Amino acid sequence: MPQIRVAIGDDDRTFREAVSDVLTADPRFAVVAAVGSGPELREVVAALRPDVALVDIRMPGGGATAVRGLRADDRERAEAEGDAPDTPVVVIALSAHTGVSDVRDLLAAGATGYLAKGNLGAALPDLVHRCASGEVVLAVPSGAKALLMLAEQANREPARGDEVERTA
Amino acid sequence: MLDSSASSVVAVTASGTINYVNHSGLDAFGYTLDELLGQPVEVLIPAPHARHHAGLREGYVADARPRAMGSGLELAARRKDGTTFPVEISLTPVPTPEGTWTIAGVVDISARRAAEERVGTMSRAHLALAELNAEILRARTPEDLYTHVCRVIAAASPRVATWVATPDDADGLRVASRVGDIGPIGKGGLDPLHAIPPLLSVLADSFPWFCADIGAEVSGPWADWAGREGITAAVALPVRRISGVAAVLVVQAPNRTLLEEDLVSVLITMAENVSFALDRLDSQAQLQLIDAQRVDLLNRLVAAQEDERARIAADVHDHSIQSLAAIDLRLGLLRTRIAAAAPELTDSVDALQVALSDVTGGLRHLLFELEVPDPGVTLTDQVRDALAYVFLDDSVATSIRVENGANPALGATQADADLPPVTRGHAIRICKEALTNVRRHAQASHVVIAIRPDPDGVEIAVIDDGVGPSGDVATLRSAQGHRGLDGMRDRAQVVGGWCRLERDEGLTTLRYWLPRGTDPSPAG
Repeated sequence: MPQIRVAIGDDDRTFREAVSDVLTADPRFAVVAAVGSGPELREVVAALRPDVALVDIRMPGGGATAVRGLRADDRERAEAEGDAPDTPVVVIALSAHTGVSDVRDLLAAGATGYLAKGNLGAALPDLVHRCASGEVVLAVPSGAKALLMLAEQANREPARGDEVERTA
Repeated sequence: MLDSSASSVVAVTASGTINYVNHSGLDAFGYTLDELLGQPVEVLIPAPHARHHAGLREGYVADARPRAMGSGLELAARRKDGTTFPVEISLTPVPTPEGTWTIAGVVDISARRAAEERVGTMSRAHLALAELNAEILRARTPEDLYTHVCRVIAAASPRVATWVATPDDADGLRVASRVGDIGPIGKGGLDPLHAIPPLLSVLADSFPWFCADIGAEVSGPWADWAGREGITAAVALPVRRISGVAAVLVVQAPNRTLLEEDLVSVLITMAENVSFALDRLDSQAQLQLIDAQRVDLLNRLVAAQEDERARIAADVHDHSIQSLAAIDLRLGLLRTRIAAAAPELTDSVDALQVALSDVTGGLRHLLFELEVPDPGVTLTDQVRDALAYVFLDDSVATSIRVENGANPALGATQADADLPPVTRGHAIRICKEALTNVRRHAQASHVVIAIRPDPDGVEIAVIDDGVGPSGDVATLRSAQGHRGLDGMRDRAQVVGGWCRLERDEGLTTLRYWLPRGTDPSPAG
């Protein structure tokens, strides 16, 4: 199985290096870049095409903004590549913040993983691996509530659409 | 009998000739008996009426019966010296061999008239006093008060003029308010008030000045003018405030009625009431100042506290939590390696990891309490985060309700969109405090947060079905379980809102309202 190529975006150097060391120590991963801001992360993702991008939500230009940017780049690429587009980058949010609205916003922007800093221990490589394999991993206490909020929102919106159709 | 009567009695023949006058009559009219007997009765009547009197007299004799003369008219009699006085006259016909005589009983009513006039003046004065007291309550500034007092006095007595003089910058006086003609004083130009020394001494010594003869006591342009206009009397009363005499109330009039004791006492009362009102205005201003200072101080305290919290929160997040998170990862790496090399040692690493996780949890809680609300996140979301955080691992059912009943035009997402960041900051802090209190003390099974925006602000209610605080919620201050209530109230008041605790049918509600306000940096 080929190595999973990872780009790390976090403005805290200590943490960034720790993530890099932990993943590098695992033969399943190759860390291709470690940067400190959202725009830089977009640049390295565009240039190096990693499988996974780890996004800190409080770094400059990070969080939902960075995730939306990465998703926009994906769409642009898909259009350019025509019928056989490359698989989009898997975006995993990494944060010390565990607020339900943070989690909701990141999921809404297009992240498929959310990992709470500080309680990962030895689990980080496995969690990243599962995300890369297509699973959604919400290793954050408010994950379920965030999903329920999104579900509620999604349930409200079609109802509104129906009404518009009926009155038309 | 008629001789000794206290009232004047005059007998007149059918042709109008006086043929009897009693002693009182002679005194009243100023004649001797010889001078009057045989004279036509018209000598006792003032000239304008005397001309018509002969005709009236003949009419009376033709239909003679006892009655009052000139009923409904104001009758006057004429003394020998030509002066007149108001009278009431009763007529009685007496048949005699020489024809019908008429006996006229004449009563001098000048004393009664004067008394009536005085009663009228006094009741007008007292009415004016009552009116002044009502006006005083509405006054917002000393100038209002001076205007009211002048207007009220002038309305009660049209023949007087009233003015209020206040000290000017040059140790003189200026007219702050006036009603009626006050002569050269009101005309502007050079300040002629310097020429009225009595007013300056009223200002300096706080003694009233009563003047019955302006010409004799005062000189200068004002006194000259008063002399020409026939203004003789003046009263000047000090209007005091705690710090000294604030103004002089001056009333000037063409006669000495002004100086009658009763009227003067009403004027003095007016001046005193204006003085009390000035004190009230001063106290109000003082209170407002103190209140403004208190709010300002609270504001600065809260701002300083927020800055401090933000700094600590940033430190906790940027350094402590990040470093601990890095250590957590490295410990994980260590554990993987130890598991491969010396599996018996993994327990020790696990124990370390648990301890680390506890510390991180503690710091994360600190962050929750300290963190400055992000202006990019809506109030509803912040409330939702707080609710989810505080009751994350609990069996407490929580919900959020955004009520737009009052104004359906405000959408749910707009509930807080235009709340200024400072207000939003206070709103979320109070909410967090309330939720933490419920979590710690209420043992609730349901917690609901109701957010109700209105055009002027936002009302937030934190409702729980727990045990509630002990004691009377209305007077509850720092009772156990709601230690933060004072702090929450202060926060609300700082931005001009309110905060109170309610207990009703098993539900405890912490309800607060914050105004939208005018924040210099509106939410983006």
